[in-house]
Amino acid sequence: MGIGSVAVFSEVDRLELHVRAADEAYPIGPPPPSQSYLRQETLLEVARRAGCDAVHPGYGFLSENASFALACEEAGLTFIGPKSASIAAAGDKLAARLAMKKAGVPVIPGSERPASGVESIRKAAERVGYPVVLKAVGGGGGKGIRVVRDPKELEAAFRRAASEAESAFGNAAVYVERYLERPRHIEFQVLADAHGGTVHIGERECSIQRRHQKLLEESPSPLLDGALRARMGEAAVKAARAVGYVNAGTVEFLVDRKGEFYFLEMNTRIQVEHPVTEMVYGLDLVRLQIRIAEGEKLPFRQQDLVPKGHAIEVRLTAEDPAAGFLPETGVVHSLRLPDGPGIRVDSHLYAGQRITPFYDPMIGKVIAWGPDRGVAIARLRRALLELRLVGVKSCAPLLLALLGDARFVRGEVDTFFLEEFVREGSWRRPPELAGLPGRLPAVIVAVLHAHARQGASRAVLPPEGGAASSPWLDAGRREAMR
Amino acid sequence: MKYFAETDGERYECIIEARNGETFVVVNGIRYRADLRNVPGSASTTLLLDGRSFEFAVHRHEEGIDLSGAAGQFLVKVEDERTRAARDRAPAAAAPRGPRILKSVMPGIVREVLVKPGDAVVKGQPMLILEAMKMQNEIRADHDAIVKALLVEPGTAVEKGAALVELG
Repeated sequence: MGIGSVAVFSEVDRLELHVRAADEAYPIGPPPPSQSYLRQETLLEVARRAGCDAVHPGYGFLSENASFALACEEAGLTFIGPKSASIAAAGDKLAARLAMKKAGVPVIPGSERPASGVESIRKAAERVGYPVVLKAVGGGGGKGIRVVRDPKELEAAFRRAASEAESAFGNAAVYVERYLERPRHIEFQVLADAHGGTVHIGERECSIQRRHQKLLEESPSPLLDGALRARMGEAAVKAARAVGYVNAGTVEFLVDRKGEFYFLEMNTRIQVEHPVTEMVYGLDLVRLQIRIAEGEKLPFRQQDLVPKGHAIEVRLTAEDPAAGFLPETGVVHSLRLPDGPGIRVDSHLYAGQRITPFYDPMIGKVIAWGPDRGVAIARLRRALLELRLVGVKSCAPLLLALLGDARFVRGEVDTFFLEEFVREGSWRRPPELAGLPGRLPAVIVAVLHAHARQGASRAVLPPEGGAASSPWLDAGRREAMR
Repeated sequence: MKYFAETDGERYECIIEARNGETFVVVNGIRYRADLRNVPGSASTTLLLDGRSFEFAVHRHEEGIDLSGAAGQFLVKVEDERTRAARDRAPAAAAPRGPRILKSVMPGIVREVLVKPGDAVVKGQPMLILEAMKMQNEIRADHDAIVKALLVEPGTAVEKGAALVELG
């Protein structure tokens, strides 16, 4: 688009790809987000100094922060996203529920105001009926959420949710909603210009989640028929209009076992999973975001938007599923990202990178497109088989097994499916390849490497041999360790 | 030459034989013809096993060899028979005595310490809150004990395996 880019980075991110890909880059402070990426004044100062005229907030940190959007507006910077008032209206989860109800969009039964303390949350939970879910008023992205089935667990869950919300969003307020059993999570991409044009760009099926964190998203949803899709799309447009929405956003719904759908929340930013929509509709959503921010009209009408084929995205995270999803940190010693027909990889990974504990564990996304769902699954499986990553463990083995699971292939998923699949544990056994047990070739390579090193060590042994403390032997071993 | 390999708790006994310029590996009694080459200028290794092709990215370190292949990521520990024999002859190390240290199972930043020296804790009781990659995790006592000393405080950044709490 011929637009220059300015990146910001914390002290540990100096070598990251976004810094290297940008036209300019400036440091903004120490690693903890509260001292760098969440410091609004620092960001605005950088924007001023670099002569920026717009800010794209991405999908982390301040991307759904109304006060930051307002600060940009007041500083004369174009915030590439909705108006601060829309973010505030949608970002206050409680206010959003009320607005949706008024606009005729169905919402999940829940409290109308944030809990002031343990007693107030207890009363609200009893009124709504257990199981309940505690949510951060300022939240999103699965942070600050706690499900409570047993009233005895309420107090601890409330404190944890409030603390997590405070740390992640700078707002400790929490409210209660009824927890739906085995719902499906289906969201609609919406796009609105500043001239009253609002369209939806189809749905994304996001039921594959663990602890409210999505791990796999696809479009179209294998669970939606044409009639329900039309009704939900209409509701999504209504929801966007209800908060005066401009730019790209997402309306999330839960769909229960009977096919009833409820407004869950509105995400007022581009989302992690936006590539599946881009691939199915042949659009560049970030480019459209910038066009809309420049004041242009939408270049299409609702009836022009026709999906083609099927796309699936998986999120690679630096977590070890075999160890209860413990976060993995360390140096990426070796890396090969997949490619090929219909494969797209969005990732900040590079060989030599140090993965730190300060930020989100997501290290990349692999997206596959195919003329139908079967081809998309096959291409994605092939892509994950091509991935090579040494240094930090990732959730790739779990994803690979998931894509091969018969229930997933039939499209029989809900938001409980992944956690059950993880517990079942069949994914722990590496896949058999070329008729050999999955671990066998790795064992043979390791043994042959050890054997080759033995040969190397013997070559530098003094002729009389045996001296285990020989500096030559030590040097040889050190060499072989590299 | 005989080797003992271990990965994910599974053990393998491997014998390497060289014959007429070819290498054979016998694993748990089954013989495979193996052709292993390192790809120059990379961490890649290619293996032909009776004509079946496998590729791995490889990294050697103190604990063993990390491999990433189509079937996943593996840490394989290999010992040759002489090393194993020498180790078997060495007296078994005595079980460590004295205070026990609760170690961190993950890297992170200590958010909250929920116990103080002198507290009696029961197995499963949360002792501190560790934040890693934006999620807060409760670190729990692994057995009933008395808290002897706290080795971290809120704000401390810890690596995996770092000592957190001394228990008596």
